[in-house]
Amino acid sequence: MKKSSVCLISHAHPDFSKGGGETAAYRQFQTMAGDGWDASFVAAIELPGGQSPADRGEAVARYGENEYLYAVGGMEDDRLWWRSAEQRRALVKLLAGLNCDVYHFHHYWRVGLDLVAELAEARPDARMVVTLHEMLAICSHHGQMIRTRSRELCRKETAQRCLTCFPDQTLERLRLRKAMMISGLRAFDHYVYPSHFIAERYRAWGLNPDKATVLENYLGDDLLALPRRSRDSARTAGRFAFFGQPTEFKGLDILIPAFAGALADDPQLGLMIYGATQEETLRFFPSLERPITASGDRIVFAGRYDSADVVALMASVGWVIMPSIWWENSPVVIQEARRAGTPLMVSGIGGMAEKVLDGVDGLHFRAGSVPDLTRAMLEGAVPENHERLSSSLRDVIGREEFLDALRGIYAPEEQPFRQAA
Amino acid sequence: MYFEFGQALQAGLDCAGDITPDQGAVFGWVRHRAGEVLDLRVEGSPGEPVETLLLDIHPRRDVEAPEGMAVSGFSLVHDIPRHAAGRLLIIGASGEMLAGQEVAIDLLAYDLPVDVEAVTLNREWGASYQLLHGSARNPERVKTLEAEGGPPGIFRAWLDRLPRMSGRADWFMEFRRVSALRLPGGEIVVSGGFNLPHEPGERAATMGCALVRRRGGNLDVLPLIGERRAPLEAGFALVGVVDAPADAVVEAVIQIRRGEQSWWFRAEAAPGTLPEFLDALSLSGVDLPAADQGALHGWVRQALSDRGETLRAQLAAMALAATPAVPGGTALLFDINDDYASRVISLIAPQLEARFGRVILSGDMASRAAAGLMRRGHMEVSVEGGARAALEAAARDPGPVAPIDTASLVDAAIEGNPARLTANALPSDRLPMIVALHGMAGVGEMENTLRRVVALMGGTDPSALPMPTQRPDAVGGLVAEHLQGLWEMVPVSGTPR
Repeated sequence: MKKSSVCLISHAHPDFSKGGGETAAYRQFQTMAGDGWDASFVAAIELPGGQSPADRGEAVARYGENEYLYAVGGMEDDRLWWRSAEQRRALVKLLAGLNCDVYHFHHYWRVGLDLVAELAEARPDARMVVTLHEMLAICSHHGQMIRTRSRELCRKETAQRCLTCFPDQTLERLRLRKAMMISGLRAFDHYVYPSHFIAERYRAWGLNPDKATVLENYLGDDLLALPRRSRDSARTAGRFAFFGQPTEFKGLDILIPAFAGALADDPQLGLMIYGATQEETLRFFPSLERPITASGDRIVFAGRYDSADVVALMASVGWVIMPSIWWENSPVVIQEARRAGTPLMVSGIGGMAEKVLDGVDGLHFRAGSVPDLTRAMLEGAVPENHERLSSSLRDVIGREEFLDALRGIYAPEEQPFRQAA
Repeated sequence: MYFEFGQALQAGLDCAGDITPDQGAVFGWVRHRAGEVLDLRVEGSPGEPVETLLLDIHPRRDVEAPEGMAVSGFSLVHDIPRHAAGRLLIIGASGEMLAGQEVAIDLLAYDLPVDVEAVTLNREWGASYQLLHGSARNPERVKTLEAEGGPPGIFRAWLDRLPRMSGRADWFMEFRRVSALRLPGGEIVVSGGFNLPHEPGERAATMGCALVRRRGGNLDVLPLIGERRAPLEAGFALVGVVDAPADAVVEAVIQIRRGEQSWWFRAEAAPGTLPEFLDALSLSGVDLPAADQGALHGWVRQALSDRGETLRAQLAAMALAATPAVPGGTALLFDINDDYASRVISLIAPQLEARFGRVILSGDMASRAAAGLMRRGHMEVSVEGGARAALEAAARDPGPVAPIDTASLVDAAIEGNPARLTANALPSDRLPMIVALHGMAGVGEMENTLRRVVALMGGTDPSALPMPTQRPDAVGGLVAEHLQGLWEMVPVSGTPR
């Protein structure tokens, strides 16, 4: 069967930023190219001073074989729309000229809803697909669906609720925002969600679930090729690790006090913090000084790590903990841990609860609860528990399963879609 | 010239002249016993009556009135019969002393001033004003306005002497917060507060007529139809309707009397919105003492009740029955003030193009929205400065026009249901009704009115639509009820939202 020619359009290139969306997009491109698809990758880039990525100032530049970069300086500040119709047209011309069967977007931010609509009109015969990695269309609060004032989790979008988060806005403007977003997204023939959680949020928001597939991001051939070793539960059950940034919603301010509490019961426990130094952590959360001091040398701040090393680092510990206090749509950290064979402790909400089945892939604790995380850590530190969960931990989606799902998504509408894991 | 007819009756004549070849005027005063009612008329010769066209009796404070006596100033306009031999002023009174008796003055026998305009200029202003006011109400009978080359006739020079203001003034003469506003339908209000003390119980008596300058310069003096005044002590208010073209300049010519004091001035009525008009009518922002609160409430209630009844028939006759738009019609997208709205329009452009042949846009972001549509080149696109201009543009061509507000646009986009856009259209010849409706019941800018019409076409209960915030007292409640009542009189229908 002839493979579709596919253009992947991403809001960023992983050569320049390491977000989950662009990483997933690029891994998809590499995997498809490796499988013999006629694939191209077009990514946004924001260079200093709004410079063009091309020598002669063109808005689009070639960047390796079948790869292109385009400047977003001609976009409005919100990066959802093109201020410069000329630059947008140049990009549409490039994309349409690639003459692909499928245009698969990852994100619409730094892509432009108007560009999507224009391309859909320019290429009515092509299939327009988007992977929605996050909820920016639904929530003005960076797509996080967390109430701006109380930091409560938000479970439902309504203009009235949004207005209480953004009292300087008007109901009309918030409804217009939704009208704009949903009109823009309706230009796509198919939606891909990396989790059921985010699929359900978009369904509740108004996108047609009949045109949707839940497809987990593919970690890439390199990580899939790594051997998945069995755990030494007796040695590692009490060793925990965090991977991520010390940002407001990642939950370090939950994890560290919980660890200090668990340590009081079991002094042999250990916690590694990857992705943050102690200074950075204290800058964000000054109140953590006391539990950090109390934890002494049982807590180690390992600072930055290379993403290529992540599976090995995860394999060296007993547990990966994800204590985020926001939903997390489909965290790559969870996939990486599952790939590494390391069970997880996660907040029991959103994409975390979906991707880590409690009692199968690891343990849940109540989001934002220090004592419940302490309880989970002490439970997980029992070697028998760790061994049981390590043995039932599921691996991530495989290459063939992923590509097979893409073939279904890219197929003409009358063919039934397959719901991939 | 002074005439004495005994202790109980004296008279003074200021003038007896011709206004036109067939109308004459006699100005003067009569001193008589207090309580008597004067009877004044002109005869051609004894027993040959001449028709009295206008008789105005007014105070004459410049003439002494001893105890038990009263002074009545008068302006008498009379016919001049052809071939009349003479001209006699007959003075009678209803009281005991002169009951049944009359005295006559031969108006041609004395060297009385005959230049009516010159005398008008120098008379007590109240006398001139009341003659003007009376003349405006009887233009078919009284030629005072036709003399001297046409309106304002014998009053031309006198009117030039009056103090003037325009629109709004924080301070004017001895008043504060004076407003003179006019609605498109011709309703006019002049109001303000006094800036000087008064005796308790002294209420302002306000009168008005209108000096209308039509396009091209023609002048008219017109009465205020349905003239009504507020009986207040510390403020004044007057409403009425001037039957003048919308593009005419309208000046209210006002007389205010309170106690022994009187004022006359001209107030050019600025075009205003209905909320502004109602604010002026209810003296919003004018500090009134407690003694005036009841009178104010009564005044506003009655004035608004009268207004509602006056407008009822016009509002009820508005045939704003919307039907679904047919392909090729006009989409009237007003209120495009948000960049997101312009983006939504761009995103749903194919749906618009499939349903309409022409789109008219208005609002701050209309140009941006139009640029995208024009670039596509599939439909006729025009941009107007505001909803009023957009309505006028839409009305110029025949065919159905679908007014689309932001809420409808949002509904159509969020639901993915472009039928929302075509649900309610009006024949273009109905659009001027919306303009008229705005003049009578508009609650802000034309955008607000059009938004309300769209909501009503979509089945919204008029009582559910908010009114602009009113002053937080009983008068504010009256105003809100009035506005609500007006909108409930309008028979708008269409496809429910």
